[in-house]
Amino acid sequence: MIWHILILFAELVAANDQDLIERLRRRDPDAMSDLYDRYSRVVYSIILRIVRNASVAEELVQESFLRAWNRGSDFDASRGRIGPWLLTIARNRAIDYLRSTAGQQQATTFELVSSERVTLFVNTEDRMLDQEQARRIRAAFSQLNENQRQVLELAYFEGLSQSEMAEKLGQPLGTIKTWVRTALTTLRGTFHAA
Amino acid sequence: MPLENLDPQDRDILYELFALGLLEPDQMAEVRRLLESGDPETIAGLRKASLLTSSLAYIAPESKPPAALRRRLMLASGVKERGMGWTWILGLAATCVALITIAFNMNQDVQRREAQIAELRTQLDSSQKLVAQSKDLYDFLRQPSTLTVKFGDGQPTPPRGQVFINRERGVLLFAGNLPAMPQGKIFEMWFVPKGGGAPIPAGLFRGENGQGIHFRPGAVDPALIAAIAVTLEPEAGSTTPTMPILIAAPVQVE
Repeated sequence: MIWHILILFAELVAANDQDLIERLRRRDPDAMSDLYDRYSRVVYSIILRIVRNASVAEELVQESFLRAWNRGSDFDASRGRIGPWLLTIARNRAIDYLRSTAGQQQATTFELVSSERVTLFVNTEDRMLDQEQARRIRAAFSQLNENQRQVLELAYFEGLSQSEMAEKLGQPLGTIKTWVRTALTTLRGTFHAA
Repeated sequence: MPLENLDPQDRDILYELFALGLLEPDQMAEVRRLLESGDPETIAGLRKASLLTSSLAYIAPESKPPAALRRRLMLASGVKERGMGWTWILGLAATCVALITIAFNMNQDVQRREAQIAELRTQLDSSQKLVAQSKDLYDFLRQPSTLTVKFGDGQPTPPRGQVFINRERGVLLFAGNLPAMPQGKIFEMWFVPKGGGAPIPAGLFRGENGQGIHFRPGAVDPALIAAIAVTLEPEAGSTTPTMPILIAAPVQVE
């Protein structure tokens, strides 16, 4: 019974997400407000964590939402979630900023943009609620050991390549690759099984 | 190693590293090529990986964006900020009007109910007085010492009725066939003393539909009264009866 209610609730939220996407496509002004109200806190949190500067974070939050707003018409989705797409855009903008300040912009920007293609966030069977997604990833992350957490944080929040992590942590590249591989495997297993 | 030769777990990791932007340039180019070619397996794998990697955002310590950021963003996107504007004033005004209307209606309702309560209280007082009077009259009538005098029996036109006299409590008159009271007139009862003295006024009363009831409280000695009489007098009453005498009930003490 409880599962039926949860599924119903999830479908309801998913339907609301579809409604938001549809309104973004139509460039309904209220859709922008709704998008911001729903995701501004997590978007600001991740960007601030990456750039560690409030005024820069504010600029990047603005840039991320504007990007979503201007590209909302591409989000042709009968099934899909806008949250993961927006979080990918936000993370990419922040990593871009970090790399641009380190003089590494040209090559990496193109790589990051590939990871935020709308194609990767539409026509998915995923009906997970944002809160459920947050709960699962935190539970999965808590399963990792210190080294595994550290490499994932360096990868996600600092955008370091595995070679850069090896250098930063003073570990052989093979060790870093093992930690990353084990961390992602554990994370994936716990996240999707939860 | 070519992607086709990777086992499923290595492929998952590859897609996740791509989503994180961590692949080596040659592998990155290979995945991008497959993505752009619309390879269903690559797209499905990248979708799953993107959900996982984007979830890592929730690990960041939670921070609240400043309120001004919302306004700046709406301005930058050309979206008129939703919310207050004049709408709240209209809403507030509508709420105030509704509250005043409700308060006014409630006040009127309270006043109406208070008037009803006052009216019911008056009716209750009257009923209580009537009950007290009825009880008093009943007590008066059932006492053995009450003397009964009938008058006008067998005569349909002139007034007729009964007079009850109680030495301690007074005189009670029931009269029927009374004439209609002209404007400005009222019935007055008299004690006619024995021995020819002047009639003594014993109270005024009104008749209705030819019926009249009058009670004159106070001690009275029936042995000193020759008759009980009723006349029609001016509304203020008279000190001497005005002719004609409508009722004359002789009192006979045994």
